[in-house]
Amino acid sequence: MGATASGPDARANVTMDAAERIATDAKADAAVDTVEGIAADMKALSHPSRRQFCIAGGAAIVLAGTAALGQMTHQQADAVYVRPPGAESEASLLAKCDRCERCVQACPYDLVQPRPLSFDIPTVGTPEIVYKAGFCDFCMECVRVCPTGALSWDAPTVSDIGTAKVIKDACVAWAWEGCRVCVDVCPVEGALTLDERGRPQVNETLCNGCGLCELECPAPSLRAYDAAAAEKGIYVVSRESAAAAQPGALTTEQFETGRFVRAEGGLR
Amino acid sequence: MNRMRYLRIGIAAAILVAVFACAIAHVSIGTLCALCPVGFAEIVVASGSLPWELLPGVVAVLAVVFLLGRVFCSWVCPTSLLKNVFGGKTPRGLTGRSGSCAGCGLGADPNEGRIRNSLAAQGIVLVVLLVVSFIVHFPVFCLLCPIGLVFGTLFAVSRMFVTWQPGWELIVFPAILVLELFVLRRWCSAICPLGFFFGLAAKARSRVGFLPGVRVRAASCKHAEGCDVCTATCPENICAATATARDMEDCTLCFDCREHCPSSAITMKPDFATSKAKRSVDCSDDRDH
Ligand code: SF4
Ligand code: SF4
Ligand code: SF4
Ligand code: SF4
Ligand code: SF4
Ligand code: SF4
Repeated sequence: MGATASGPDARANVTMDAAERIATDAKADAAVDTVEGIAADMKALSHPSRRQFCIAGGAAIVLAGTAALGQMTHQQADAVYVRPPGAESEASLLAKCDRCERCVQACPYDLVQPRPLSFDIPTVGTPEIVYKAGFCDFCMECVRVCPTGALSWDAPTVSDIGTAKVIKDACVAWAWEGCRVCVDVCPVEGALTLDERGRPQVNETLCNGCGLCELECPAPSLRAYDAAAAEKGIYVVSRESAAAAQPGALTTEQFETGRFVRAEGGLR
Repeated sequence: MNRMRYLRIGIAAAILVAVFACAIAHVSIGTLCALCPVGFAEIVVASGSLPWELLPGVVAVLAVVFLLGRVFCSWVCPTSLLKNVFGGKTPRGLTGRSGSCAGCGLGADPNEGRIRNSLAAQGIVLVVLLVVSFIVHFPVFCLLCPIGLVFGTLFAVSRMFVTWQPGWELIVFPAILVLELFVLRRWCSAICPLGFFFGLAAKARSRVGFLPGVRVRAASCKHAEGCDVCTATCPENICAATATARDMEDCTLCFDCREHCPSSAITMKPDFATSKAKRSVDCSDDRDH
């Protein structure tokens, strides 16, 4: 009766056996197993679903286009960002992160934020560190919750996410002496000291990029606003960046042009 | 009136609100991407590593689809939420609901003319996205996925509260969403690669006939007298009265047909009857309700 269920007779008394019809077809369709089901879909290519195949083809082209555009902008930007602890490299983070935003939710100090949409399209939504509301105490919450391995315990960055750079023309101590806020707050012994002229200098081997100095730097409130100078006197940058590759304190220009740019020969 | 639709809107919206609240409360439940089979596959091919910790969530979602049907699509997915809120009577636009059943008046089975979800088309999209993700080494589809775009917009808002710098994605993401969901109306039936995995799970479940799903009590169904309410309300254009198990694979358990059926002929209870030879006995029991 499974064979007649879809015939015209069955349709005539559909009221009587609607439930049974589902029943019989469930049985008949039991033969249509997963793979055969897809094969059946393939066969049905002829009539209504041809349009769906056109749509699928169109979607495939759009996907390929997105990939090409993304790849092109990503290579051209060749950018580096300060990432949460445990990011092995830009490439590894980008390949593994599915933007589940768990790390963003986990960070107790709102440090981890999804990257905004920029010229570097594929990085949108992946986590970067923004020292606006706090600094990193390496609590490792972000690494602990990441389900994809984009942030992993094995990466060297679990205890070092970047390095601080003093900005000569923005740091108050470089202009007049006297300010030592960053040196006082730095939690890492010896990472930030005053040189013989009272200016902060970073020991880049010791600095771990926690960002407390950047967070606490009072330069914006001590100095008159100057559009040509960076806002703060000290910033944390990625160790792969061109800014980090230059020794000592930077000018605002060096900082701004090198902050998100990969240094020559930097880890990809 | 549309009680079920409002309920679906409520539940899907509550999920978004919960995810957003967790970003503020620092509870790392993650977005739906933490449960996504497509994201999992993309990471595997893009990075060449297995994201083990994603696996339990992915398996759990597929298990739910296997046991309950494609409930994810109706009740959880933000795509359906947007369509339920903005799409009027076409929550999951295939061709859009006509509001009437094309086949009923003509004596033809409406299910024969309906446009099915195309696993094959979704499969093609899946294969292509995996190939391109493999080539460029990042999860490409996530940049276009409506689920990812909804959460992307949500987190762009939450970031704005920290940085006070709105990003372009606040405009671009919603624009892509509108394009995908309201211009390309066949997203769910022919493109969404998550739908491919859910479709596979639904196929597997339809082999086990007794799991809960839409059933029509033949005794009270008025289809033969010309009633086409279930077809007209169904976002998948399924005519529940004459649906085969294969038609029912597309059912997202939205419960619209059940709500609107004038003779309350539709039930959702597990039907142990259909899987066994004794089903005819049980079916006649059914008619006594
Ligand atoms: S280690 Fe802790 S403080 Fe640092 S970014 Fe991760 S969650 Fe935030
Ligand atoms: S938790 Fe991991 S996968 Fe999720 S957004 Fe953060 S880095 Fe990406
Ligand atoms: S980022 Fe600043 S505060 Fe943190 S360790 Fe480096 S110099 Fe010290
Ligand atoms: S088919 Fe895809 S986009 Fe559509 S409702 Fe289901 S999961 Fe969401
Ligand atoms: S963006 Fe879409 S495809 Fe990517 S992981 Fe999230 S739900 Fe899955
Ligand atoms: S058959 Fe009923 S429950 Fe299933 S999708 Fe159609 S209206 Fe919704």
